[in-house]
Amino acid sequence: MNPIAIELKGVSKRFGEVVANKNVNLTVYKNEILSLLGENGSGKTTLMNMISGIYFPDEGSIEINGKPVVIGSPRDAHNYKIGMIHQHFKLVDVFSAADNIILGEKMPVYSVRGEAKECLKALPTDSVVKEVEKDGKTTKTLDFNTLWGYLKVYLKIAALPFIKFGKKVAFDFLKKNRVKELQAVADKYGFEIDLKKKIYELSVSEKQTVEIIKVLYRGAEILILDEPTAVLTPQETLKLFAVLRRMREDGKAIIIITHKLNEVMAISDKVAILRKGEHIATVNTAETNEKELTEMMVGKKVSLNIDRDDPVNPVDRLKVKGLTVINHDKIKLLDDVNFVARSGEILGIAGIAGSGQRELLESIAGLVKFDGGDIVYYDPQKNNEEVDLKSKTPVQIRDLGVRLSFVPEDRLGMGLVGNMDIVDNMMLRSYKRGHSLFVDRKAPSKLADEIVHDLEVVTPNTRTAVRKLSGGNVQKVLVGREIASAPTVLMAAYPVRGLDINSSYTIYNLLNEQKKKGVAVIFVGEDLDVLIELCDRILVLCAGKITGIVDARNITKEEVGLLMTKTEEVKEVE
Amino acid sequence: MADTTKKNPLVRISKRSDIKGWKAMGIRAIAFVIALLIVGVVSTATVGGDIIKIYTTLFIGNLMTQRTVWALLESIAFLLLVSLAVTPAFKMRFWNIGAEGQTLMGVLGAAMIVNYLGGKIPEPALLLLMFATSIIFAAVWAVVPALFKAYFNTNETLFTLMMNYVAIQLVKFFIQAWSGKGNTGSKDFNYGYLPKIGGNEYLLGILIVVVITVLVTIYLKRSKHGYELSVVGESENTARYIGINVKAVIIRTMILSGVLCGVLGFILFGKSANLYETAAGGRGFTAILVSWLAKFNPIYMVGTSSLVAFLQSGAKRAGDLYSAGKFFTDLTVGIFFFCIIASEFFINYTVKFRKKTQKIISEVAIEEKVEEVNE
Repeated sequence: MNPIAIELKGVSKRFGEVVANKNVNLTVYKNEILSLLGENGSGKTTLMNMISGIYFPDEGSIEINGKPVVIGSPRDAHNYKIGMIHQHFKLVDVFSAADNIILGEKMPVYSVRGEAKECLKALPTDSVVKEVEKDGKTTKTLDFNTLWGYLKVYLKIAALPFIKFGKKVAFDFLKKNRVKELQAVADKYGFEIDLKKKIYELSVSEKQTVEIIKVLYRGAEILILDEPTAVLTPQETLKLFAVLRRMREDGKAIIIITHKLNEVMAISDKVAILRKGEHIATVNTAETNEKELTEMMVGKKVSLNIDRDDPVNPVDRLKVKGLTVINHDKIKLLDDVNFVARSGEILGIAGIAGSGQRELLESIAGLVKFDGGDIVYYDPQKNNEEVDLKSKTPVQIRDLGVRLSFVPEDRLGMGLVGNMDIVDNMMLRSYKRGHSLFVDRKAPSKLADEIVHDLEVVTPNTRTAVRKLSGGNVQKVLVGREIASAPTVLMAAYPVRGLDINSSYTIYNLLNEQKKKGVAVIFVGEDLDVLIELCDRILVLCAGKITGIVDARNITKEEVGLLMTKTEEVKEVE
Repeated sequence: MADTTKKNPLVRISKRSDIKGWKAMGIRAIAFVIALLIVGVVSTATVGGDIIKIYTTLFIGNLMTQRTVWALLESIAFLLLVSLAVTPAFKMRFWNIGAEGQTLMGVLGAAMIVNYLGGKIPEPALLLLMFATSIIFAAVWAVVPALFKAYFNTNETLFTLMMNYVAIQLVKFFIQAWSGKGNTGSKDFNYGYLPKIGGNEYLLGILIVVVITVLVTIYLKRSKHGYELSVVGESENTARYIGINVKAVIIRTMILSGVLCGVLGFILFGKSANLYETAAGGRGFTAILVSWLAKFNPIYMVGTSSLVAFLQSGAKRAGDLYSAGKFFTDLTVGIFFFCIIASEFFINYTVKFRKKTQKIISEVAIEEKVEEVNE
């Protein structure tokens, strides 16, 4: 049995009325990788934040190496050798990787005042003036030894600031020459990275590597990774797993937060399952399977199959020709993109985050001005007559009779208004109708009722602010509204991001329903397994270019992964 | 190894998710009482005097005569009007702190008409022209920062603030230009007085504000414009996404702000037919607070502006009582604002203190006891 690294005993945390964690007991051993599995809102991140000193538990205790500890701040966590790699990297773009790693590293405390106090203790106790008896008379003479003793002490005190300065210079000099030392850490665990490169030159997975090295270099024995694979391609994930295994052999305790079951099975020794803030069980990975884990996670049986029917007479609905988008820095965000979306078909878009997916959808929706190319819509109500969507605003597109719906990536920041209630959010699409100066809340209110009922949105009522709903319910409201306008083209960007399993399947079913109704569905996804299972065709974007449009029925995850990283360089335009 | 004897943090602050209405009101009431106590202490320390007398003047002083009650109602109405003017912009997250200057421009507009046309055209026509010019002047003053914000994304807070000073200097300039050498304080006119309703000089202004309050409430809550500006305020991205012309909304809303300030400028001038650089009386700044305290809700704003105006005028009377001057008024009002705003913190957050007996310690203690007993 491995020694215990960290143990949580009866830890609870509440945020107002919300119970984020309730009486959680969790033990993590050294030389072990523990997966923390749970749906969104099950309290995984809160629990880890308590270990890393960001939150403080309301109840319960934490023991490290068998001793109860109080972790009141990230600095405490650092002292206890706990390191967390967050989902969002905290790196300075214009610094080199090595600089980022040693950033904030402080030289050992050297207090001049404290040192001076120490020195003063060495002051001679004798008086400088010595009384010497000579010939019966007492004469006073200076005792040079004692005087020298005094002088030595004062000289030393006077020199203290200079010593401090010297130490600082030495420290700064050494700090700047740490690259070699850091590279040794990197090589030890098999990271492939050049630490002299600036952060902005690094890919997402390399940035993650920097974060990991940073934590390792600071001597962490307990590593927490918050959804590390969310930003990685399949190949990069495998590399990360290899590194994690090497760290495990090195005696580290590793906690990895994830909700991808296949990864849990692949990497971890044990799985701890959280549900609604409570610790359900910790099981050995070898003795369980994905189905069982899902049931523990959700609390009931779920089927994990996505239906996929063959498209029924697909016709071209939307054609994108030579689409090019250039940003302020003259970088091509989209470079000569050509594709066709057909009715009754789900077109998946795969790619590393930030490969131009957002720009592509926003160009089609009329939110981004593009610098070249054409977008043509074939209107099914006018016998597939061509409608030019080039440089049209969203309002103009709507006025042309193009029934285009768009579920943006940023739900509360773009698709919905968080502080408004469900009814007012329904109105976003329809409030302009009619010539009245005043808004009509009757129809939106009815629509809100329907959506809440049909999609089983959990909410006190339709007058609740959307931001108070859980992620899944927010998405149901958004998708519900977009579908309600009977679209002919439905674009959805990462519609299941952050959603629990049940809500995700509700969304997949909704997309499939639209497909059956003959809607051209464009689905931007990040989970390649889902893309391959759900879509009819997959378009792969890499740095703004299409690297392939493939048949989802005959392709493997690895092949898509390779297409996602086909070209790496960013091209500049004159 | 780090220090293991480290204690739990002494004070922890956590966000409240929901607070019951009565509890929130209770906290505000406590803040009010604390403010009263501080005011008592401060006033005895500064002006000496009888605390009870100060308290009674503070509260009842406003209500002594019919005239003081009307004057109080009027100052509430004026403060409410400026607050209503800044609110649409605030709801749009456009921090217009230039209502002072916009109102002053309204006053100047009216004065300009009276200066050049006073006595030359019939009184109703003069008033109508004054009204129109006030509105135009104030609206121009408001729309300039809006244009810059919409097209160049300048910082509206600084811009509107600076426009205040330009307005003040303009007024000074015109006072001097119109009244000749020597006089820089104010300029009196003989025309352009607002008509009195039934001999009451306060009633017309108050009635106008009542009507505007109703209109602004409807505008914000029921109209398409009101809906659009709250979408823009909450999220510009969402506004873009559904095809709202964000620039147009910013400009339109600031024009509305300016128009309302212009109305107040017109009324202010019409009361005394007098142009002076402090005609707006700091209301443009106080209105920011009134609007915020009311959470941009025009109906709540009736309450907050009443409270603020009541305190201001009470404190002024209490100050006059001891001839303590303006500083006493400002001090008193400041103490109240400070306490009321601070109370919002306790409404949104709860402060927990460390429990004296910690679980860890008590467990250790029990184990020791058990050992003792065993021995």
